[in-house]
Order: sequence, then structure tokens, then C-alpha cells
Amino acid sequence: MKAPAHKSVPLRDPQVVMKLARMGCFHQSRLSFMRILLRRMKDEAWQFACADWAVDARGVGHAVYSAEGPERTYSLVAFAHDLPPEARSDRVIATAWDATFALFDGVPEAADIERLRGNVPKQEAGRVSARELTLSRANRSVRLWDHVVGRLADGRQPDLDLVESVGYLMRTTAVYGSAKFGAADRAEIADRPELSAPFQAEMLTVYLIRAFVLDLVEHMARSRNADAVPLDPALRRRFGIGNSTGLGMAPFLMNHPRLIHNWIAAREWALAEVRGLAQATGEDVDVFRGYAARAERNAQEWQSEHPIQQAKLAELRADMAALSEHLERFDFAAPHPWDRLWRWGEGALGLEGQEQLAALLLEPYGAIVDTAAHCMAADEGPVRIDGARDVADIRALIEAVHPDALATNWDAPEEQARVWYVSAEKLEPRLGERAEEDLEAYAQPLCPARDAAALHAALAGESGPVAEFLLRHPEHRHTVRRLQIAEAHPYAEVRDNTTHADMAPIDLLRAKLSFFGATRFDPRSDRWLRITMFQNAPFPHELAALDPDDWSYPAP
Amino acid sequence: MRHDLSLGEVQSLAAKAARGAGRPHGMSEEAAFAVRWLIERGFDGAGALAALLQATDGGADGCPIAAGAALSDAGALTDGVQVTVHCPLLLAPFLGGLAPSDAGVLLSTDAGDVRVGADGACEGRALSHALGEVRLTHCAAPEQGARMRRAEVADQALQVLLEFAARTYAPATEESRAKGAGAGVTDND
Repeated sequence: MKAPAHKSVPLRDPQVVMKLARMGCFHQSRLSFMRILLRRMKDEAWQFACADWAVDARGVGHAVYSAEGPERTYSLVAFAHDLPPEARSDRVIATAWDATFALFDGVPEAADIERLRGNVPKQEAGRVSARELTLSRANRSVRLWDHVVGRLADGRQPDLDLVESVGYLMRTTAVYGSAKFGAADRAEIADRPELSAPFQAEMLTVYLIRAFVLDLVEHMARSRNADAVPLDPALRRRFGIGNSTGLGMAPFLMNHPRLIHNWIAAREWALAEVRGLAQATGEDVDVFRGYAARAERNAQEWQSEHPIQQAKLAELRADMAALSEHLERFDFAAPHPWDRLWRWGEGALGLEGQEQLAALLLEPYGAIVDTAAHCMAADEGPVRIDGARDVADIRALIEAVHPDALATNWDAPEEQARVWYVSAEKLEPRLGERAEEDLEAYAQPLCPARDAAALHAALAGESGPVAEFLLRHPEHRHTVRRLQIAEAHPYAEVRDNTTHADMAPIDLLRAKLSFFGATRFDPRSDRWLRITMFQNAPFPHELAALDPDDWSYPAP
Repeated sequence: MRHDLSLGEVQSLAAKAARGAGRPHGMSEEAAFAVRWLIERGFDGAGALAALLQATDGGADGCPIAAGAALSDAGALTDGVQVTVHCPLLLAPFLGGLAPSDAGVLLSTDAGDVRVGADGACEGRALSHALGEVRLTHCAAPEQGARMRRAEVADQALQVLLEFAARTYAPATEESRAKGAGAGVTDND
């Protein structure tokens, strides 16, 4: 009997993938940026060192951590502060933090450290230079920090349940990269193989911050008692770095359509490749079963106090139980097992379970899918509008990309209840109620669907090249550009209403953070949340000996 | 006094400033690309945009960004076409795409000329910011020069752009502070 051929499975329809409800269910995968970074650093045998440690017994001072790759070295310059509790806030409007950081391009001289000392602790109010790739800050989890310092100083290990319930000793708030506050432009690093995938400088920053934070907590325990014990290595890995993320991240998805397309397209390609496999080896199946069991455990351990997330976790747990049961009787020997399993999931699982399954299907197939990491960056240079395109073409394009928007009654108050704006107060991105607040003049163009519907209406009765229409109606210019981008980049556009009264910005945040590789997504409202990064990952000094890719789910 | 800015920073500031001066979103994007394009080629793009927005605040008559965008949209250049614009330097970023391959477009004004190649090369000298007639003709391609990787922005231009950009920020109110970012009473743990 001939083996069934690899069959070509089409990529999923963007009308299915790019809905807010589904984007709010994305999970980390092999193509997440944290995992891409650790795989590369392991493969290339990067060397790590604490190059400088000048932190006093109160926990104030600086430290430098270096990461040396085949061609270049990057250095985290960390400043530790003594922050009064009343000053501790994760919001953009904060002005002081427990620790502040910059990722330096190379090995800093003493003069660089002093320059950074004058600026990095001020964050947005300071300036960095072309030598810096990122700027970041972090705050302590006070209750876990004090507990860990106290226990270690007493010669004991911290309480595992408390460690598990918080998951981190410090949480970063912003991690600014690409040109922000004077830092190096993306173009400066885009051609370096180690930083060409998206957000690698930011992920490296957080990875080194985690090493610094754990060293700092042990230093503080020793400062209290010279006989303090270090953390047990296995327990130590249970600490990730937290992150507080708010609305500021949501506009990113709409402001970088080509980049977002490349992220989603890479993952969708990978999913289609796996679904197209004619057969699975016993080893592949074992790997998949192992990860599926760990994902089920992850769903059980994942806690949130927010009702939206609690409902989703209940759905995910039920889905994982259904998957587990289905796998007991699933015939992996029959042709095209993964596509059959996928199609079962589309019918039997909710959105949470389907998206978890999509991530799990990639796990056995690193040799096939990991190369997609090379396709996730984007050239975001200017896009010339093709003004010769006929108005009828543009209308047809809107009908193809935004059918739901054309079926929406935009005069209904709930459809455009929200307005995205930027506050004068430290430029914090915010979301207002269009009917209640006088914000129209400050509205950001963050509802492509609404804008497309408005353009469609404006084009009724028009004819000829769209360039002539744009001469008379420059207010539709950004929409025409977006549509022409979406035509060539099908996953570029959120196919949903981002101003609806029921829109939850955390759905956009989850989509982005899943590509970062974040776990323990924990919303605190409909528009800000906590996550954990690098939890259970090997530390820099352990990377040579441990698996760089096996930490994103709870241990088997 | 001059300020060292990243190119991304100046591009983002230019977009906000143009928006603050009343330009539509799509035109503000064009202004931002134009400013960055000029700075990369050693021209004072930020100064040109600052001068333009001051001269045309709230209006768009004689706007080189709008004229450039219209030419770019049309996708072809009639040899010898004339336009009347402020700050004609801001037209240059739109011309490369209109030049035949291996050739260029000459932007001539009473105060001087700039040549732009199909490959994005640009040579010439600073032009007057005043409203005036500009003639666009086909020419030989200019030499490709070095590209700037940072923006050196004069303090005066930076302040003008920051002021226009500030118009896009909603005034802080207690309600907005409390509700707009979705924060609760405390975000500590």
C-alpha cells in the first residue's frame, strides 16, 4: 500500500482567525519570541556573566549582566533603587520604580554607566542613545519579595505555594524598544541574525532582568544574614518575571499591520504544514501526548480573579478534558492524523481549546516549523497608495475584508461606544466613552472596520481612479492605504469592531502577548493585566545544560 | 541647540504634529515618512515640517505633502508640471517613485534645485520655506549619498513640532485618569 501523500491544507481564513474573541484565546507556541530567543542562544552557545555588581546592603546600586553571542555582546545595565511603598505603581503615570534597566549594545564603559545612571531611573523623563536597545523598569511583588528574603536569611527555602501563587519577584511594566526615548532604531539591528526576529532585544532584556532579580533577592538575604542560603535551583526556576500590561499595547496591533500579518501567517503556515502530514511517527505522537497532558495541567493551575478570564479558563479546562478523552481512542495510525484531529477540534472544542490545540500541534515538529521564525519580522517602510485602482475595486476590497463592518449599523450607540485616545498625562493611552466624554477631537484611528464602512459609503456613486477621490477626500487616505496593505497581507487586519461597547482590549493584549510567549495571562480589568515571562525557563548559567524549549508548560 | 533623536522618534513626532495641525491621519502619515526620508538624506526635514505647519496651521492650501501625495497617487509625472507650495523640500520624498528607472526628477525653485533619483538618492541644497512656484522636470539620476542614522533636530523646530503634537493629547481629567486605563484602586501585590 502506498503511503498517503503530504496533502496541501489551506491556511485558515482570516475572517475566522482575526476575530477579537479568537485572538483573545491565542496561546504561546514554538514560534513565540521568548522560545525563539532561547533556542538560538542555546544553539549558538551564548556565554553569560554578571560583569559588574555594585549593589549595597540596602539593595541600592547597579549591576551589569552580559550576554555574548557569536558576533556581538549585549549588556543589561540594571539600577536598583530603594522605593517607598506609596510610590509603587505599575501605571505609565508612575515616576519611580524598584529597579530600572537598559540593554546596552556592546560592553559599557564606566562613562556609559554614569550616563545611564543619570537617565535610566527617570524612564520616560530621561534620554537614552543609539547605544541602547531597550529601556525598562520593574516593581517588586512586595509580599513575595519580603517572604523570600526573610526565609533565605533564616536559612530556609520559601513557601512553594506562595511562590506558585504569585510567580515572580518583580514585574516589569513597560519594556521600550525600537527608537523610543532616543534608543536605537529597529533598522540598526534588523540585519543582525540574533535580533532579526521580532522583539528579541526586548525578550533578552527581560531574560537578563530575571537573572538580576534572583541574584538581587539572594544578595538581600545575605545582607541580612551572612549565613543566608541561596534558592534551591529547581525552586529558583519557578520564578518568572511578571509583567503588567495595559492599553498601550493594544494600538500596536492596529498600528503595525504588516508585522502582525507576518506573525499570524507564520503560525498559520506552521499549523497547515503539520495538518498536511500524511502520517505521524510513534515518537511524534508521544511528544504530542506529553505536551497535551502538560497543557491540561496548565489549564488547571492557571488562576485568575477576573470573571471574563474565569469563564475562559473553565472553557479551556473542559476543552482539555475533552481532548484528553478523545486522544485515548484516537487512531493515529490512519492517514492524516493531525488534520483529522484538528477538524475534530473545530467541531468539539471552544475557541480556547482550538487555539491551544493549534499551539500543541506544533510541539513535535520543531524541525519543520521552527524555520518560520525567520519570516516573522516585517519591512515597515512607507507604502505607496496605488491611486490608479478603480473605486469599484476598492469597494470590492472592503466587501472582502470587512463584510461584518458593512452589515453593522454604525449609528447604533453600542457599535462605536468607545474612543481610543492619548492623555496629556504622561501620554498614557486610554479608552473613553464616546457619548459621555468630549474626546472626538482626540480620537486615534484605531477602528479600521468602522473606517472601512465609512469609506464604502463615501465611495457610493463615485467612479474612476481612487486617486481622484482622495484629492477631494483626504480624510479617507489612511483607510485606503490600510486596505491595500490588507489585500496583500490577509492577517494584517482585525476583522472586528474595536470600538464596540463590549469590546475587551485584553483580547488584543492576549494575542500580542501569546506571540511573546507569555503564560498565566491574568486580566485585572477589561483593559489591563498581569502575565508571567520565562517562568520555569533555565537561567542563563543553566542554558547550556537544560532544554531551551521545554519550560512553557508545567513539568510533566 | 540641537537634539539627538532616533529616526523612529522624529517620524512619530512628525505624524502627531501634522495631525495636531489638522491634517487627516493618512496625510499625517505621509508627512512623517517625508520628514524621515529627508533627514536620512541629510536634509532638515523636521525644520521644513515645522515651518510648513506654522504657515498652514489648520488649512492645507499650498501643502507640499498633499501635492506630493497626489502626484504619488497618480503614479506618473508630466514633465514640466508646476505646483505652488510652501516648503518645497517636502515634495522631494514623493518624487523618486515618479522617476523613470535610472533617471531622476529635478525640483527647481527660484532659490535652488533638488534632484531625486528613482533609487531614492537625493542631492541639492536647502530650499526656502516660502510659498513659491516649483517646476518638476525629468533629469539624470543623482549620485547616491551616505544615509543618516540619527536625527539632529534644531531646538526651535523640535519645540514647534512638540507644540503641534500636544494638541493631539486629551487634557487629563480625574475621570479619565481613574477610568480610561482601567486601573483599580491599587495595582500592587
